[in-house]
Amino acid sequence: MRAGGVSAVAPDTVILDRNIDKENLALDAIAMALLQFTPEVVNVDDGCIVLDVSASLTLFGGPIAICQQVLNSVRRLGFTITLGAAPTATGAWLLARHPREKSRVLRRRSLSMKTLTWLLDRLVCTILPQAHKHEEWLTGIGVVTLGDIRKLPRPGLLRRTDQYLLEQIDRAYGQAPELFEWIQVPTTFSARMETYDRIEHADALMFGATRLILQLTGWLVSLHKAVCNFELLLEHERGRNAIEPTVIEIGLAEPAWHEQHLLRLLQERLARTELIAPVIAIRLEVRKLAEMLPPTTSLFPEPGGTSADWNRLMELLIARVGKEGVLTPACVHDYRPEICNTWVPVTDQPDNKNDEGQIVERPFWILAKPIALLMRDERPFYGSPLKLVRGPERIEAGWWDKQTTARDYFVAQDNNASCYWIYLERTREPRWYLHGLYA
Amino acid sequence: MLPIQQELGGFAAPAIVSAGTAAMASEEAAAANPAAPKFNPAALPELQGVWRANQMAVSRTATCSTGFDIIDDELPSRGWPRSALIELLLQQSGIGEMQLLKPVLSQLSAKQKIVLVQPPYLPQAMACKSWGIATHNLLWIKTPSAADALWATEQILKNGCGGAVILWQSNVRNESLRRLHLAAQSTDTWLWLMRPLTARMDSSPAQLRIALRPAAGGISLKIVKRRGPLSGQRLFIPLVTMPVSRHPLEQQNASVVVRTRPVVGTRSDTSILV
Repeated sequence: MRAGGVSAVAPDTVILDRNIDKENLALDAIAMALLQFTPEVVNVDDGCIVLDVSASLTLFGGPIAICQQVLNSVRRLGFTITLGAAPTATGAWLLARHPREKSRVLRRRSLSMKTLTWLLDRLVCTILPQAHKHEEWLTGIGVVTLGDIRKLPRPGLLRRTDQYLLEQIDRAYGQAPELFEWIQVPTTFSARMETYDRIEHADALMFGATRLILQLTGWLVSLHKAVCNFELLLEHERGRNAIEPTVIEIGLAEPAWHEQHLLRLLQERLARTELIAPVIAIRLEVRKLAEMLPPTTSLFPEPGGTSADWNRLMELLIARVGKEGVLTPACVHDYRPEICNTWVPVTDQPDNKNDEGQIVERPFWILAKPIALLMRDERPFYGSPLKLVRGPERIEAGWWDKQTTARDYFVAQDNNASCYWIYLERTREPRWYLHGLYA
Repeated sequence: MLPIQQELGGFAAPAIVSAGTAAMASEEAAAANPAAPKFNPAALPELQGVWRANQMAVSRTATCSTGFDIIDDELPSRGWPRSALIELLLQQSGIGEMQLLKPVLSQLSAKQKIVLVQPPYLPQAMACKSWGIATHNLLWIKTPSAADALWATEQILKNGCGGAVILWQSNVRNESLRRLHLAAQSTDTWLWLMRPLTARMDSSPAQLRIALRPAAGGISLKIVKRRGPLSGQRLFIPLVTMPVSRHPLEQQNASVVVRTRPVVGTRSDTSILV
């Protein structure tokens, strides 16, 4: 239909020009994402992608399951496809291209050559691009379907048409070998996607990021690699008022290639990101790769989960609460309680396993900042008058790093019988401070 | 401190409700038919699969001994239940609540991770070390908001790698409690939720709720809710690592709320020290 006719029928229609570049980019993105199912992927003409999954059927749980997964991953990329499956690539391609008809139940998948032959025999012969040239002649002799063509004598058909038509038909029926040049996987990964609009909320970028991550997982699986470190660049305004892109760097404790885990990490990070300017495009770049580890060989699942599970949990927690929020004790030998009780981010991996330090009794809770206590009747007061029950323990340290502490620590008890760790600052004007609670 | 009378009243555990209805039904039956013999619950035959309200619930859930025989006797299956939400209701932080968990934590930390989520103060690694808790298995999650803390707890429970999670929350909505309860049931992780004592009157899906109060040389606890009959008495647990020992006189009547002795006025520590 021409543009004039369209506007006559439906005046509100928005007419867009076909953009071959964008189409090719989309096909490349889909092919990249589908690499996770098989390394044998090729873009054939007319917007079709052919996958040879014969070696992957067992891994992905059979033909029906793999079809579902292919459809699912393409849908999540934001595209719709029609999927045909057959023992021959050309057969599957023809089934996928077959237009929907009203009166017939559509069947696009077959597993055996017998059903494929039966299905192909009923297809209209003009579905083959090679048959377009001879359409008039074929209709003239009453040939409508591919089955009708196959009934004709071969030498006569070859004389009147061309060899390409016959070759194509032979390939579809599995009577001639099919050869494809499978796509070569690039050695580096960098995928970019322009957003449809200027995006001002980081959450809204999740859709685009999902598409990029899907491509990334396809690429990783085809190379048998796992990612250790990747970056998501949020590109802002270009031109005269250009702003540097925002970089979201995601490092993983354990190399991963699982799409779900990467997506969750990205989701938590994006939820915490504040955009400085609207985003017009996003780019995903891989910084560091590692070899993909084979799955564990033990028969039974380990009780309490594997260390990989634990690392994944840590990454997830760090992505949401930040590196400073997931802490583990570090072993610091110092008499001052605030130095001794140093907690460091779990990613720093402090070596605190073989620890031979001196063990002294300390209260379980320490106050981050000691509270100066009130004095009543020359007695420290915290809720009720405090009674000193044990002490003093003198701590004098830190003269070497300008944090000199000279304190006498006591255990004190209030009227409720809860115990406190208080100290007397040994300065010219001594003062009492609350520093810990016995929990 | 609230008087004991007030604490005893007001708790309506499901066990007691069912016992009450059974008694009422028998009374009605007796009123309708005065000739019928008086109902005697002990005379009922022991039926299999029938749980009586005065019995402790028996379940197949794994438990871990609390390390204190006094508490073990009062708990169903003799210990902290695994894969369940346990609520500890504290009068205030720092009354010996961690020492109550010390035996189970030191046992778990040998092999599994222990996660402290949003503790009220800084946890002291040296104290853990002196209690025999392996510090390399200790994790402290510091979150900016309560929602994040609940989220983190749920993630840890779902992951199932942690051995124990202790969460501190002052105001928890009932939906969040239910979510925690469900998340806890799906894993093999121990979960303790520390809440203020004021929350003890609120309903909660937790399997076990224990109110904790400070006591000299130990901790005084009362089981608010358990899978079993209502526990009326207050238990005193002596804690050896508490810096103050209990007065010998007070040890004889443990159920009485401890009152501190008047402070001796003549002792003046400050003058000795400076």
